Amino acid sequence: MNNQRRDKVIQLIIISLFSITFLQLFNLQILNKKYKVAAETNSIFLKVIYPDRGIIYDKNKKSLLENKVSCDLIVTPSDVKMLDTHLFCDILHISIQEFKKRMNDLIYKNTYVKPSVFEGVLSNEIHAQLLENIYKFNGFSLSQRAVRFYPSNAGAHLLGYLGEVDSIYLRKNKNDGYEMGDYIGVSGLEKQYEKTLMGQKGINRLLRDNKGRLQGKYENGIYDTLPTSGRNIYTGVDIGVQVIAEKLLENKIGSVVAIDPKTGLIIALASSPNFNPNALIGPNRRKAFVSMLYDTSKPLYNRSIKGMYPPGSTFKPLGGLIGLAEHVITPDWGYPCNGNYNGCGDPRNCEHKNVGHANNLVQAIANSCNSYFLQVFRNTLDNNKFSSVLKGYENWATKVREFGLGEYTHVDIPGENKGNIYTSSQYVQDFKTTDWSSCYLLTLGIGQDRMTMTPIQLAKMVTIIANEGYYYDPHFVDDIQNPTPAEQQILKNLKTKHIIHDIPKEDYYPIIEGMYEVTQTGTSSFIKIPGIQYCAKTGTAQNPHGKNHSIFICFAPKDDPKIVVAVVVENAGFGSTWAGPIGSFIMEKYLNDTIATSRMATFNDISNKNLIPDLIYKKMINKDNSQFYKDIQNKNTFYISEAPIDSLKVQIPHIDIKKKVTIKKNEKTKNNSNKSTKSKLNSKGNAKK
Amino acid sequence: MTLQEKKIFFDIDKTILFLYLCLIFIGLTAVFIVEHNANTSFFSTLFSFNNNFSKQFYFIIFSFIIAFIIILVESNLIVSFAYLSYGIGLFLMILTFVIGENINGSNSWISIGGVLNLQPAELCKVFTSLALAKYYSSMTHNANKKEGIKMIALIIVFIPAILSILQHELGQAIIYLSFMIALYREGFPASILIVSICFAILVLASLIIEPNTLVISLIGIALFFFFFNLKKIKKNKKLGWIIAIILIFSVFIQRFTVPYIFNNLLECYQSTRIYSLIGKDYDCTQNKKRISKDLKLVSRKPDDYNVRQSMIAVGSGGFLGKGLFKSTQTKGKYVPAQHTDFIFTSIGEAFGFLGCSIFLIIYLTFILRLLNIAESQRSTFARVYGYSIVGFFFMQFAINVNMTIGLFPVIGITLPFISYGGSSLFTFTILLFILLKFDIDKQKVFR
Repeated sequence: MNNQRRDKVIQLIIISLFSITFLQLFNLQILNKKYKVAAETNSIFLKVIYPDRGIIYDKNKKSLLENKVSCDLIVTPSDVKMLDTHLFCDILHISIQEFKKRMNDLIYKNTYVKPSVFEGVLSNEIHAQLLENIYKFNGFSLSQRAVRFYPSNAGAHLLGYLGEVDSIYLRKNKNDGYEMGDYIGVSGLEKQYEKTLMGQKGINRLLRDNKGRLQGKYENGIYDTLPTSGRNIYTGVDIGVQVIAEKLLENKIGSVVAIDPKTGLIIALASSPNFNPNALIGPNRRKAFVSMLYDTSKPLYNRSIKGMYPPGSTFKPLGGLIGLAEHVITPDWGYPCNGNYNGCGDPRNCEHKNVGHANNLVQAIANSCNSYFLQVFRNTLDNNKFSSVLKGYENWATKVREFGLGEYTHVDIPGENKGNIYTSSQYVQDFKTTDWSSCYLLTLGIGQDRMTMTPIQLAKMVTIIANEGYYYDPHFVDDIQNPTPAEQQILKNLKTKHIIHDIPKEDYYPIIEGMYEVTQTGTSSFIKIPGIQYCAKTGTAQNPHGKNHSIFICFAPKDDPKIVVAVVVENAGFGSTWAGPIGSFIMEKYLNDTIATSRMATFNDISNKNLIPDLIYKKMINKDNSQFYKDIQNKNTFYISEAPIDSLKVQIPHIDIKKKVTIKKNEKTKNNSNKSTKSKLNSKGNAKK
Repeated sequence: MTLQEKKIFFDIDKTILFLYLCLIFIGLTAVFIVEHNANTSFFSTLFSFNNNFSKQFYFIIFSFIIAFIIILVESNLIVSFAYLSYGIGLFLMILTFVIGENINGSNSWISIGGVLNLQPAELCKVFTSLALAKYYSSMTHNANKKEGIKMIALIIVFIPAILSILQHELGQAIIYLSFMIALYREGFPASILIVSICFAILVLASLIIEPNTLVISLIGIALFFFFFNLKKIKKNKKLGWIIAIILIFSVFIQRFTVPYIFNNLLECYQSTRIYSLIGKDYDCTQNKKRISKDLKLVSRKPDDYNVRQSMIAVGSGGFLGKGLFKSTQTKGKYVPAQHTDFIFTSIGEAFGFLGCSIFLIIYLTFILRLLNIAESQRSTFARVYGYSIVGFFFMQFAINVNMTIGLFPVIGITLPFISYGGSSLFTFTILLFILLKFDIDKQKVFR
């Protein structure tokens, strides 16, 4: 029968269909690679493990900042069942409406089944309460993560802060391993040493199921990489001095820079108005940040490296030194000052009228005689060595630049300004002639005119004088844990000794003697530090913005300088009244490790004195950031609990607003111009940053 | 055990028995791979009866008992109950319309004590094969009625198939097409097969190719035949007319029948699946069947989601596979219904091309061996029955595996002996062991 051969046909059909299946399997599993990739993107979730950032230590190996484990409250909306909403909201201090709103937002943003952060960086109190009750809240869990913590609430400007990495940086540095949402150093040491502190991120491969939930490690974690912690940084900062400096600058606009002249290590660097570094951590970071950004007093602005001030009388020691080096004066040279300098027609005022107060260089520095140093400056420029005054000025400018004026100090935090020393061509533009008289720029001799310096430049200048001719670039970092070759080079550069060659050592002696005389019989003779002989120079810098800046430079001990301090207090008046005592306290704290009880009263007086110009102050409390200050005053803490409210840097004494409105008219205009130029200055600084 | 009983177990086909045990074991492993997670141990889950793996284990033991009983039963008894059981099967299928449990969108299940969900359509396969075999064997010696055989045989096959369609179990209905193999063997004209294959190609072509292009190419093919057979057509003008009629008929199918099938006969999701297979979107608003329900279904996951995921799972296995319990797609539960319809993905992902090939060869050997047994039967009853179950195994295997690798639209049918599920396992065990019983009693003649 024909039918019997049909089994072969059936066999053929079966085998051919199997072959088709076989070929398709071959195609899928061997020829086609896209399914492997698809399976990985499907089911393997790359989880980034953040390394601990490196810690920054001060010179006594005390940590300036630490990593603190903080807790986030995580919620998986799909697991939330039978929630005691009342209890929950009570613990978190939120309303039920707020709870519902947040839950809806989370579900909208991050789906119903994925865990998301309900509240980040919990305060200790809330954390403790939650720990007790968390078993009642199905679907909620506590998760830990590391945040920065500043144990002494100080050093905001030098340490800098962290912020989310921005998209411009990401686009430019694709290979640095940052992703959206990562934190990166935004300013200060955190930014400068970002690569050292950052460490290496680890990657965990986790299995993810069809709803995006994580199921555990892929292949038991054999492809996982461990994070490498960031490396620690050892600085020369003395946290005790730093805290004192910030305390003294409270309620003032100004800054303090203290340097160890023997090494160039910065002991303290404070700028005021200040902020508590702990304020930029935690759930209200953004609020605090925005509030500071719009603050008229610019708490985020680091005046110690950015603020540019005319040095005033504090320039005089250097002026004298250059005179000596150029042989236009001798230490015994005197000027018969009778209270006015008349060398250029229009008489210039001098504070002292008694005859003989400028009989020699030492006396002239001690009494801060304007006439004397104006004449020294003119002599330097009119020197017969040079064919013209212009050439004389160029020579003077070169000398001054050797001392760091108008040059970057190369301090190892970003954003410094280099002050201002005009080049001769800039003056030519101003004067519209190359044929000058030294009278044209007369007041440069007493640190006015167009000369400006940052506080850190002032400190560097004093360092050179104290060291009698050499210096190290002012810097923070003394050592780095396991430095890479690149970092070793950086450290080597920081520790390179720079020598001023063309000024003989002997020339420094009368200058130092003169600065010593300042503290004995001169302008700061009433400031005594128990057991310490120090040298100093006060400055009262006139400026177009209002009251004089109070400036003070000093170093101590006289014979073997261990600390150099430069203090600037804006619009405060005489240098000896405000900046002087502040400088003395800093030296005392550093050298004696304590402040004598007899001086504590002065200390507190200065610390409590409010020297912020009225109009700025009024804006500070009345305008954009009023809520911010109200919160501080009401102790409505949005800082994390470890940061004591008392240590917040800007404290607001009670102010009678009515009184403020009736400011005298001329004062008002003064302050207005003050404000506008200051904001110009600040915007300049920001642009550079 | 008596001597006769010993002889029974001695005569049983060892190859099939071995392959059967192999497949059962592979199936159990595959289910375990799907169920496995890191913190469960093999033995603690095996006896717990609270997961699919453990249940499958008990189903296997139960099916062994069934197999044992079938071997012991007198084969004549099975033959004589053929029609009766067919009747019971149909009754059960009709019963599901009344007391059916709704599982996965079809009412074709009857729940027995909450533990086992029985699908009468599965069992009906056994009864239908028996009935068909019985019918053919009773007709063999009745030479007068030879022409009528075909119609009645078709009716026997298509009653349960139509009932399945009514239960929205298209998959089961398609399986009944596998009786074509048995019918073909028993003398059904081969032209039916050719015509149906041509029809299938035409349907596929009208889906893939632009309608007008297809008409032009059909005319082209017709002209091609016309000119190559010009001499024959001159001799016999009928042939020319036949070509013309076929052409007109084809265009009619392409223009009217195909849209009718997709818009009126098939349900929206079925049309979508078939369209997605060829990479097109089906517009469900055209579908006139059960419009009110289907409008809700439009917003579901894209319908090729499960095929895409199963292809990723199989494809990512590579040559050697990811290894036992290391399958990421499986662990992530990306493939829907992986322990039942898509069980092949768990093998494909874990053991790769090598494992799949070995599996294919085992299955192919199994089916060819069954074919061999069926062909070697002396009695018509056993032979027809044998071919029926060859058809079942082959059809289910081909459809199931090919749908997981994207060669066939997704239809909810199981992979015999591998997929999780009591109903499927029992049915195929019964099917297989009845054939083995007939094979043991080869010398007897069944009527």
